Amino acid sequence: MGLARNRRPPREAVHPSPGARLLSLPYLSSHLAVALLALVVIVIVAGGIGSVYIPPLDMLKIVADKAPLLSLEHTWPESWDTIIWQIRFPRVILAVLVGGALAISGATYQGLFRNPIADPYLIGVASGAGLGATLLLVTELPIYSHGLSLLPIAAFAGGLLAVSIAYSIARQSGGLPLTTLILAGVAISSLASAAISLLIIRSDPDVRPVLAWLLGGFGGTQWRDVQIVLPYLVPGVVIMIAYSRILNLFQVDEDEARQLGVNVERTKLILIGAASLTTAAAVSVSGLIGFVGLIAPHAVRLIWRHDHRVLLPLSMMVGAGFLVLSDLVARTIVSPSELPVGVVTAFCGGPFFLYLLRRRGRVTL
Amino acid sequence: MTAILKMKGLGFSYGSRVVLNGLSLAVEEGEMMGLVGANGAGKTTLLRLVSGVLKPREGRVELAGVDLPGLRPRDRARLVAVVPQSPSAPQGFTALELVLMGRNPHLGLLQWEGPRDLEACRRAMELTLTWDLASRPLSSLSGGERQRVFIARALAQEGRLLLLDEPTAHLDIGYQPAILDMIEEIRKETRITVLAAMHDLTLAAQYCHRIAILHEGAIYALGKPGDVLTPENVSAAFGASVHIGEHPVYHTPVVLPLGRRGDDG
Repeated sequence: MGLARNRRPPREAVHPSPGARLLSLPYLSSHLAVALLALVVIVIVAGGIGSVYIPPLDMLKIVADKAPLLSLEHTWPESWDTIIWQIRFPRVILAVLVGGALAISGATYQGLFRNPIADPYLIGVASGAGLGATLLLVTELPIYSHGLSLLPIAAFAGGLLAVSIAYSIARQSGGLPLTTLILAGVAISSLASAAISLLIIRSDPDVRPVLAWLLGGFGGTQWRDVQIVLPYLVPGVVIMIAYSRILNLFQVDEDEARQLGVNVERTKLILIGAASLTTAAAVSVSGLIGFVGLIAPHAVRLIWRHDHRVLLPLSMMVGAGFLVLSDLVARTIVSPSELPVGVVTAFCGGPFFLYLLRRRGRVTL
Repeated sequence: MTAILKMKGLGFSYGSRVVLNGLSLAVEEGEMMGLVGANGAGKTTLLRLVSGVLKPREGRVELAGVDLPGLRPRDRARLVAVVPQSPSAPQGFTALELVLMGRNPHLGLLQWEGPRDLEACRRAMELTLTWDLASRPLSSLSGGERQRVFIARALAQEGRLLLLDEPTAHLDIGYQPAILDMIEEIRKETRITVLAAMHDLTLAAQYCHRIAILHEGAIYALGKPGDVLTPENVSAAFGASVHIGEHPVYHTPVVLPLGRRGDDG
């Protein structure tokens, strides 16, 4: 194949080949800055739209007014302050957090399982959380305790319990075969879904609260919801970002990763833990919102790079922006009523996924 | 010459199937040793034990006096590098990005590859004549090009021992000696020790200083190709009848299989 002829390449042929560059922090930060700016614009615009329309310029003033040492002349009605800070922003910010959490968890699962259609719900978090929430809603148990909703707690516990069961079933003496974990997750999910259906059928006729929760949404969000999820999201996200370079090594097979110095079993445990914790926290306050964890990472792969150091943080931004916009549609399109946001993401996500399939020709498993 | 890799009383089994049983072998610093044996004799298992993918059930593996199975994966990968038999081809990565993976054992969790790592990769890719392919996506490379990129990744680890699992398995007759010539030059230039599982006995005889025949979980014969590749040894280890000739150019043993047709003249 001409290899022998090329044995001694002329010296001048050995130059840095074009594009042979390292991933640099400036590259990542410049792209992140652009994505962050876009997200801020989306948040400001989305915050202004609703039954009372507040123009973006006034939105900026209202936000800037909160900054210390800055006092602006109040040229807007007093009620706008309440609308923005008490109603719209808690909701929009929670959508940012949940969208970002689902997207980064999705990207992590896809990288870890080397499976482009893995989503954050793959190994049972969603159905487990659903079962936890349904149990609470259909039984006589109190939903509020000390003024605090127990729903997120029940969902969070259910989600983590389901993943733990799948994990302990799949775990073997030699390690954790990921295919077995996926299959165990699917089985646990089916069981939990069946239990949810059974509970709904057997319970009081009014199942709408359960269905609404299952479809996901941000109706009636308060700052307290943001406070509930933040302590769980931050450590999960930090861990996933920290391991993003190692995630690249998971793109070769596990034995190779081991030979390249990765502690494969420990990394799997840490990343599955971080992604499950993050997803369960997100699900607990928002219900089951599909497709965000699939769409955002794929969009980033289409536009930017496959390197997980770029993929993870950018997916988070894209997922956050996507969910804020979806929620905007969900709360305005049939105003004064609302659609579950999961319906909107599914309407966007289904076609996008079909487009991906057409474009790639096949999905490698 | 001193032994750099020492295996003593090595035992391993998959469940109840015993693969290695009391295997002892010493590889000398800077040599190229060929590991041959029938399918299922445990060549790959032996390499996986040395590279730390598997843990030995009993016995010791030492590299330069250090107990290999006891090391953390990262420390082990700084000493031992592997070129897998059928390399995976991760999607969306360029050749350079793959070779940079070889720098992982030299990086901390939060550390990114720096100029020093790029330099190590450039050297490795120049040795394997792949530097010009650096920015090409892996999926666009031919089988032989990809094989060289994976060799470059192993070299980028800057270890002391290079393990090759059937390095010529999927290559055509022109590429087979080309890859082995390349390994030979790399060995001379970097003085890395090479242990290669080989399928083709004639090629093994041509390129290896010494050959170890693996049979029934232990080393059946060990020595210079001319001394080890005898019809008796090959018959015992492979259950095959062969004719051993002499290579007209290199004067190394040439192993020719004999079938039943031979009787007809």
